[in-house]
Amino acid sequence: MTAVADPVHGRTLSRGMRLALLLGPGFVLIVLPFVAAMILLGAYSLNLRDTTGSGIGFSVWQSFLSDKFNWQVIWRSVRIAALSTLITVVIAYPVAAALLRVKNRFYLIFAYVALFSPLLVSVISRSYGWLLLLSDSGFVNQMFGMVGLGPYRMVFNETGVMIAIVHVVLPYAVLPILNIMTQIPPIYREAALDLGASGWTVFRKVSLPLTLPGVIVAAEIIFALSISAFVTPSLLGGGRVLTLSRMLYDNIGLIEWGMAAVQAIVLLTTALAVLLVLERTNRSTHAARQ
Amino acid sequence: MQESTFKRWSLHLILAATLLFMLAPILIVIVNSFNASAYNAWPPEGYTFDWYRKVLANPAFQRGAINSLIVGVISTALVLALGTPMAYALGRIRMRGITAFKSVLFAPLIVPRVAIGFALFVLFVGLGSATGLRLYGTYTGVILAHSVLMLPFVVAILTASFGEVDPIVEEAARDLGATPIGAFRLAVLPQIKGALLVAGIFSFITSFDEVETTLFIVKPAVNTLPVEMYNYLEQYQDPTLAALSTLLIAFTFIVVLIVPFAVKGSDLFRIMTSGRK
Repeated sequence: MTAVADPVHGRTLSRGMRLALLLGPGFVLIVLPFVAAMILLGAYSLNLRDTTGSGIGFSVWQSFLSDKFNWQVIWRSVRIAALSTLITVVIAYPVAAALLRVKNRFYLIFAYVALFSPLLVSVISRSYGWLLLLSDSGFVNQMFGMVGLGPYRMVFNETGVMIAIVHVVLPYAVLPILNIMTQIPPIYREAALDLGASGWTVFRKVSLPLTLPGVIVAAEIIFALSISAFVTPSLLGGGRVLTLSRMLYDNIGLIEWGMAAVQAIVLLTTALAVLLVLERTNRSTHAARQ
Repeated sequence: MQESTFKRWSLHLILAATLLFMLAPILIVIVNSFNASAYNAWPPEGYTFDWYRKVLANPAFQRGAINSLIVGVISTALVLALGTPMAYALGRIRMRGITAFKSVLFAPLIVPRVAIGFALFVLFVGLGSATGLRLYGTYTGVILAHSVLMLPFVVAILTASFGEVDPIVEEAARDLGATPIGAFRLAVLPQIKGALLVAGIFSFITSFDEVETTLFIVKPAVNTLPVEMYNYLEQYQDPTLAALSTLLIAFTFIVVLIVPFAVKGSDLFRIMTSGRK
């Protein structure tokens, strides 16, 4: 685009001016408040609004990090998110592979609608549905009862929380994996098979390494979603599964703003740390392929 | 060389089982909304429409639904109006520092929503006592919060769409004497109509469904519907919520499937299945 000194269109606004007009309103009205809020979060974690009388500094951080209980909560949040991510990827991979092999157009549309249905249904309705299915006298336990099993405890504990999390994040995992699978020419696998490799060897040596970047992208998205989930662990955990996000919410009621700010930053940092590790892995697999 | 039958069948079995898993909680909610038992007894002892009557007569849900509609419509209009020029600038004009700008713009996608909710709560209360600006517990505050969450999605969808429009069309319109805004309206806008529609629907649904950020910044008078539902579910578990959920599922499916398909089905299907978010 040649906007400067344009002989045909006559006087045109300078590029800086156009950028300011196009980006300015959205930036000032929406982006800036977000940035200000995040800065304020940092300030509050440093005891800016001095509620404890200990002055500005790291006193809130100290009391958070020195409490063993908080580390248990961090560990629980990471564990639930990591396990949910692992389970989701293990399910999403064959599901994506199966979707590529569906020939019937109507079944394919139905499969897409079913897979993506959690995105169209309120998180509250979904959690409620899982409570109905998994409760002690719920549908699943009644099915188990018919064959003489159970009842199993699946709500108000980590099992229930993870089932519901896997349910909602699965579509986000299928998309990137499906995306990368479609980019791999089938001839690679066929060649390996023709050369006498077994199906398992082909998967391990050809298909999986080629699709690994998609799997890592999926894992990144899912982990970020799982660790920040609030409604699902709150409702399925019934207040008995204390995660970082739930802890943060509980603190608001107590007006412990400094502590809540620290917890919000810890939550954000944990999510980012895992994302960075996965991103680095992704880069090294890219490098290894070249 | 052919794949083994065993492998093909196991893949299809996993897919079928997964689809059942995905639909199960939704199906049970719909069935349970007609369950005559207040304790969700299963299998249902009888069937009734009572829960639907209860939902429709519940003042908290009525007010919540109206609040959600107001907030959803205004915040969607706002992010489309502000996000379209931003996406145009990002897609068309080269600039220095674009990476830094983008990382700030897209940051709300990475920051956990509860953290955003708390940060905005602190900002709103702080601004309120410093300047008298009333954002905490007001429509303005909730609309702003939802816009923060929705803007990155809208800009991402529209930037990709602007990238597909050949700039030469717009230049031709300008050469033929159109004003910059006229050229945009006549030559560019018709080509991004589909993306605008998808971005708009996506925004509205995000807003209509948002709880995790909203919980921090509402007061009872402006409670949105999901917030009312969350509060209800923390106390009761009778099928009232099943009836409400069923109504909402029907509403969302109508918005998502019927409206855009009436406009242009093939376009939407292409966007939905192309693997881009």
